[in-house]
Amino acid sequence: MKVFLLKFFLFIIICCLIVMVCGSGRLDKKNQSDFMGAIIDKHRRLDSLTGSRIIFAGGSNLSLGQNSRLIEEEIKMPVVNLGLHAGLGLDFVLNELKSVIKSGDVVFLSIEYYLGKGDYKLQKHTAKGFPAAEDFIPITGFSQKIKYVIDKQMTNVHENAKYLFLKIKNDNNTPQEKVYDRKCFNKYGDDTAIYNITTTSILADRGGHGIQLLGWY
Amino acid sequence: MFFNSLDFAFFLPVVFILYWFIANKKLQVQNILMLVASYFFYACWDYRFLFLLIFSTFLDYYTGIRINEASKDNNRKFWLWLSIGINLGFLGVFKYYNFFAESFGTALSSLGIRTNFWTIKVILPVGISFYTFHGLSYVIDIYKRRIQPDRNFIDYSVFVSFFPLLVAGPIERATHLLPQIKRKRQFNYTEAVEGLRQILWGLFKKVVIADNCAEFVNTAFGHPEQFHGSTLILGAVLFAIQIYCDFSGYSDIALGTAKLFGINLLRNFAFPYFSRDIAEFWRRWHISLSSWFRDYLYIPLGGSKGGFGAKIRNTFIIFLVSGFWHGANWTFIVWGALNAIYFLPLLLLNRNRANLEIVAAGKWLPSLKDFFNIILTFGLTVFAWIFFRSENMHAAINYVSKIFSKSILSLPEKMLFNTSNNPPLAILGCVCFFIIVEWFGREKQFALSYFAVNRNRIFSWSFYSFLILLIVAFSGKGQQFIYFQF
Repeated sequence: MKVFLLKFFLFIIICCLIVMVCGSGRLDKKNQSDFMGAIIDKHRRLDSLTGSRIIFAGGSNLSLGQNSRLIEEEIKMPVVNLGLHAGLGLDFVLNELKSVIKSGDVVFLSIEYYLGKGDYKLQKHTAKGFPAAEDFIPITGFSQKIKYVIDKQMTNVHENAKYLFLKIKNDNNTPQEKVYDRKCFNKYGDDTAIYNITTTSILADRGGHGIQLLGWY
Repeated sequence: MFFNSLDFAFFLPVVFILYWFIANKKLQVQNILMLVASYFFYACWDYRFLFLLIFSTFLDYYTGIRINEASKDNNRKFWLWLSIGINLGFLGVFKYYNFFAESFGTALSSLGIRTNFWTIKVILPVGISFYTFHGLSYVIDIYKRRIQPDRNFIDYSVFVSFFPLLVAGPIERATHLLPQIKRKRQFNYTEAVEGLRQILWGLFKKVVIADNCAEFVNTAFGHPEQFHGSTLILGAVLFAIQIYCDFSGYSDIALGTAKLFGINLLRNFAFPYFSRDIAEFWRRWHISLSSWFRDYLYIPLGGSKGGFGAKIRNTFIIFLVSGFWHGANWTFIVWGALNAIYFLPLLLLNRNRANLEIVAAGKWLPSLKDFFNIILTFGLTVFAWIFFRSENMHAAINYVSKIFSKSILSLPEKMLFNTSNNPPLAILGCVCFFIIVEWFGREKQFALSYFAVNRNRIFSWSFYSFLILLIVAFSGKGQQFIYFQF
């Protein structure tokens, strides 16, 4: 029995090491051009502003429904719209705010009806392009923490393998959408592409968005 | 609690350590621990049905004793039929009531009679078909005086609810499993290592092959109208691979887990897709269920000993019942009927036992004739699987008619692979790797043995590590084991 357990644990350690090495980093870090990738630009703008700022936080009601430029021009204070997706959850949004706010900042929190604990997979997806977002993902309880650590490593290995295969095939799998794309955001963090399309197209795109969300996960 | 979940990865070592380090002094303590662990495992699925499991266990335990104690034949029969009636009654209510109500209603309305049968929304208790068959075989064996009833309720309960086999088999026999439960178990290093290997191979089959194939299969069967016939053939072939890897993967994990606790379960699969005819396929596919039907239905009906008509009748009965066992849907019945049609010519020509040994034993490659027979048998099986997989008969007929359209000559579309969580090329590579390993390991109990036993340790450990890396890197979107719904 002792030999069995010893060998078993040795083997498990070897496997863990292999998984840790293969999943130590993400090869596809720079390949974040979808909607959630906008978090990178929003935080980049936040970091670039030295004085007091107006920060809006919430879900996609903010990202798609606000004119931050107008607010900035009227109030004469730099504005950053951090609003992205309600699926990230209230805990995520609050953790994100906690990590960026400074004395003198004005914060507007726009709580959506769905700002609950958040969708773990969406949170992970967001952290894919913006590693600092890993710290915003709420972790409660030891077992969840363990699961999170294991899942993180396994996801990294999975994504790296996928990335390598796609690279071999030279396959650019990144979706390009009219509204739900990182490129659609202006420098304040507002998704402005929504103003450039007709109502019918918006509805059509919203249908596409639903399908695309599944793809993100 | 799925076998391929993190919960199970924590549950199994805890039970293993308690079993061998804390409860190993006394057999009864070990069995109590196993029973508690099994009930906990089952309660994780749905604790409400735990009472049904306990009731079913007690029913068979009690009726088994009463059958044995009854002096008159009528009394023995009464207790036997009471047990069979209640067991099948539960199965009927939970699994088949809606099917019969709807089918009867449809039949009457086609005759112009309007009816309004009640259908009930019931959740199917996980594993009910499996533990019901455990209990039935036990009671019938006592009635036939093959075994004595077990007087220890704990031991008997472990036999029915031993967690590795509780939700999807293999369907055990009291003659095989009960003696092992009643015997003091010693830790066996070789068996335990073999068990871990089998778990690893089962996980690979389920998580990498079956779950990835499932995504393509769901797309093909979900929207057959969007695809060419050739793509739908590919979808059906992938389903054949999926269902084999899903179910045999589950069985491998179950058998491997049981070995860790010093218990050997019945083998459930023996490389069925390398069969050269349908009779051989059925000796190698879901062996515990096939042998159950053979022993408790086919042979009591007369088996293949009767005349021409009796042979046809018995063959159809066993295959139709087998199909119906899988679920309350006409698709399963047609699947069973197709297999009966495939099987009958072999039986009538006395060719059903022509291929008893594994194909090309001791050789690297099969002969051309064997190869052709394997492909033919696989093709027939794939055709029958279309009915098994389809939601209903209408969908199955649509699927088949779309296959046999002009588009069968077109190249399969790439669109089938769009929903994949992994690069299709990687999945194709994994499927090829799986087929090669299965082919080389076909003379062993399970394929991985060939690449592990009596090999250089560095080679075997590297091989295991490679498998684990594949599991982590290319696991598909988690899918429930197909046979849990049965």
